[in-house]
Order: sequence, then C-alpha cells, then structure tokens
Amino acid sequence: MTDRGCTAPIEFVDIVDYWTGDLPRTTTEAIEEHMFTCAECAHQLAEGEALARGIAAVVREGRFHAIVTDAFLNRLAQEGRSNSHVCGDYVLEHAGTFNRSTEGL
Amino acid sequence: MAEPAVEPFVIELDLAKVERCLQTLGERDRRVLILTFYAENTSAEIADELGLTSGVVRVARHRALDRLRECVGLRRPA
Repeated sequence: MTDRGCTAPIEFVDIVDYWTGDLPRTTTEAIEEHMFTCAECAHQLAEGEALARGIAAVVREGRFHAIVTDAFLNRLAQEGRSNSHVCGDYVLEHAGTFNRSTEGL
Repeated sequence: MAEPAVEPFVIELDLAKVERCLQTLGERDRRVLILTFYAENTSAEIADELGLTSGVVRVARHRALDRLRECVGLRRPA
C-alpha cells in the first residue's frame, strides 16, 4: 500500500468526472489502476461516492424540496414513486420545459 | 490471486447534514447535483435539460461538490 502522501494525487475534480463517466476511457483506466494501490486517492473516491449516495438518498427519501425536470420525474416513475402524493413533495417550477403537472403520474 | 493493496472502505454521511448543506447551494447547482446523482443523467443530458453547455455543467458540479464536501466535513485541510 502506498504511504500517505501520494506522489501523483488525483484531483477531486477528476475523481468526480471519473464517477460521472466524463473521462476518456484511457484516463478512466489509469485512474482505476492508481486507485487500486493508493489509499489516499481511494479515500477521495470514497468521499465522492459518499456524497453521491447521500445526495441520492436525501432526494429519494423525500427530505428535500427541489425544482424538478422531466429527468427527475422520469426517475421517480422508474422507481415506482409515481403517485401524486410523492410528487407533491417536490416544487414544480412554472417555466418552459420544467413545467410539469403531477396529474397522470 | 493477489489481494488489492488498498482495502476498500465506505464512508457514511449524516443525511440530515447532507440535506442542510444542499440547502446552502444555489438552485442551479442543486439541480445539477440532483440530476447527476439521483436521476443519473449525463453531463450532456443535464446541459440539454438546463439550457447549459456540458462544460458549464461540469464546472457547476465540481464547485457544488467542493462546497458540499466542505460543508459536510469531508474536506481535509490543505
């Protein structure tokens, strides 16, 4: 295991891009290879994962009021959370493509 | 088979703190994070949805996560 003080630390922005699939394949593979042996960078990845899981969990549990889009409503439908009671927890913005009704969901 | 040099570990966050910290972000940044990590949309999809460029989406996401990371207490001192 690499000692603390990675000589080629991966920036958190790159870890985020790796997590969201926004990096070229070769870069992704290089990061994964590095993560396999570097505890410090692996810890940063774990932080990113924790944030991602936390954000998803907060929304999924209905703890958070958000202005929704089609993508958000589609996700709710995919998870079977398509009843108006659930969607009613989320604030709908009346503006262009974001204007969606809970009716029929 | 050789074992990996780094033991995998999982960090669990206090969801109440995550919720409070999300509230401190701007609306656009919250949307980007929610569409990224809950709706699992790509940067291009989010850009199209929000009328932004992919580059702006990525920058907004990076900055929002940096703020969130610090707010929930994950950011380590420089």
